[in-house]
Amino acid sequence: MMVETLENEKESLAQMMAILYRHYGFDFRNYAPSSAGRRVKYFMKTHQLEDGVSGLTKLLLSDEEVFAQFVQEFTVNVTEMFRDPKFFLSLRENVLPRLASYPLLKFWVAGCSTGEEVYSLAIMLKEEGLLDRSLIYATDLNPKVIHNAKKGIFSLELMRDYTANYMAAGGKNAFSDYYIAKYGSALFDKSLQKHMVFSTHNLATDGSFNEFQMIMCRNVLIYFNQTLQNKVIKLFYESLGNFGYLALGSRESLLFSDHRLDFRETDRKQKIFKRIK
Amino acid sequence: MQIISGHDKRREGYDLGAFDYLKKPLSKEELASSFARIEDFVNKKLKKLLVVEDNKQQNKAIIELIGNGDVKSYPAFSGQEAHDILQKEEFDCIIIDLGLPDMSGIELMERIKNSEHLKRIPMIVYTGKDINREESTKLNKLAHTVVLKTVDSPERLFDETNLFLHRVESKLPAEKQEIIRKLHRSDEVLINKKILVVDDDMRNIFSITNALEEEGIQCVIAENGKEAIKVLKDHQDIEIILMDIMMPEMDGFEATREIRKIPKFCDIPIIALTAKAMKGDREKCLIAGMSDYVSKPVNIQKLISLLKVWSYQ
Repeated sequence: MMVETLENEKESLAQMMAILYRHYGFDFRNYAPSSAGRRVKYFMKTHQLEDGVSGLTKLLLSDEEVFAQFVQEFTVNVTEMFRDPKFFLSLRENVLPRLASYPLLKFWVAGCSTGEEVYSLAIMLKEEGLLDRSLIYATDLNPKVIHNAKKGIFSLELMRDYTANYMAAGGKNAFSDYYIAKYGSALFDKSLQKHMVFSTHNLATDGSFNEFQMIMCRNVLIYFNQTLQNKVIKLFYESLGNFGYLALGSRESLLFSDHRLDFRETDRKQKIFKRIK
Repeated sequence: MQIISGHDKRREGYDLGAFDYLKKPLSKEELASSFARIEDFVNKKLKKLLVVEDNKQQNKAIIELIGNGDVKSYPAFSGQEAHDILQKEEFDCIIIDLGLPDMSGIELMERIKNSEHLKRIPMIVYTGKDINREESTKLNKLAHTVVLKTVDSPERLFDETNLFLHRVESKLPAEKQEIIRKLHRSDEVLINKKILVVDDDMRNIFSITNALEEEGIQCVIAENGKEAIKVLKDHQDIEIILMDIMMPEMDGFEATREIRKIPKFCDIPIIALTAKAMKGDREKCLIAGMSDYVSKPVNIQKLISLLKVWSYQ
């Protein structure tokens, strides 16, 4: 087993990302080093790879299937329905009433992972009478999670927690109205899916593809370094209509963005911003 | 008057006739940009707004909502009245209700769009009427934005209108822009070509069709793959297709595969509009049967060159 010092490890990690970008076009060069390092280590541990980062680099270059597996595990983010209920409550009270004046509403859930927040948003739009004229674009870098998100099937044992979240987020019905329990899974109502468009999209390299009234990207930017955060906020800015809303995760901010003055805080605590110019 | 205050009483400030409102604490950049706005304002003449709404009370309410200091608002209560006043005064923005007594709001907007000296005025639709699909497609091409009347809609109408009234205009006067555009129009291969633009991104539809129509191209629009196939059946003379990828109902890949199955269109040029940058994504376009691709956001000059290439075929 190769022994690598902390500094060496950081460097070989950066080297690996540069090589992967050249070879496969996947750009992980701007991920925050600490979380990238943690995820790479975890990948090596779970797959019993003991040749350090340089060994992993060689393996990823020579075996496309391992690389595909690596992309999936490296990029998956943990999420839940109505995660941070207070955020969703604020959305319901402070944002949706102001969006009601648009004849067609477009939402983008960027980095949607397995889709929990996409379904949460759709349920809320339905309760506020807006779903019929809404389209939710849900994207993630990882094709596997998009494939799962599309199905609308979630583990039944999580429903108890999600029901509590839903109620705390100001839910107006019974949460169980929206799914059918079958074989240990919860199948979500197909009428919600009709308003969703799923696709892969890489925030680091791909461009703007539509104009949205709201973009939700929560707990994704924390994995990016400042350069990439700035680039992604620019992409969001360009993808928002005038006076569109941007929602970030609780530990994320616009502080380091060149566009920070183009937004106004709608809810400082819940990290909801409005594009004002 | 420029108010700088620690309390957020923006609306009260505007009501009293303030030009702008800044909240303390104030950064250097904010202060600088505020001075730039003041300078901009001082150098410019009064802004003129036309409000076309047949209900007298509502018309008055809109004018009271928007009118502050530098904006002079004119009411019009019918389409004809609006048309007449537009011949006399130069406006910076028009707010239009869809239901007018003598003609529909859409008809009025079409007249404005067909007039060489009026067509660049931004138009905002403000309506309490439900909009059907056909109207919505038309409005996407005509209006800069559509505001439905709701409890909170005055706030948005105020924001949107102010944006258009105080927007920084492109530096060249209209005539000069026209001359430059004509210079770029080097040859006439594209004149009277019929092109189908398939995209659910209204910004793209708006900018692409406006630019292509300036080149003398006829544009037909579809908002998703399914609609595109329907439109092709009604317009057999379409010569090139611009196809977005990520769309509801039927995406660009599937639509392309379906179109290729129609004998008449088995080798029509289909150009993908894609936000994707990766090699693999572009290969997917070609595998699906697309002829070429152009990245979003679309650079109009590049697109026109590309269309020339594909129409020589």
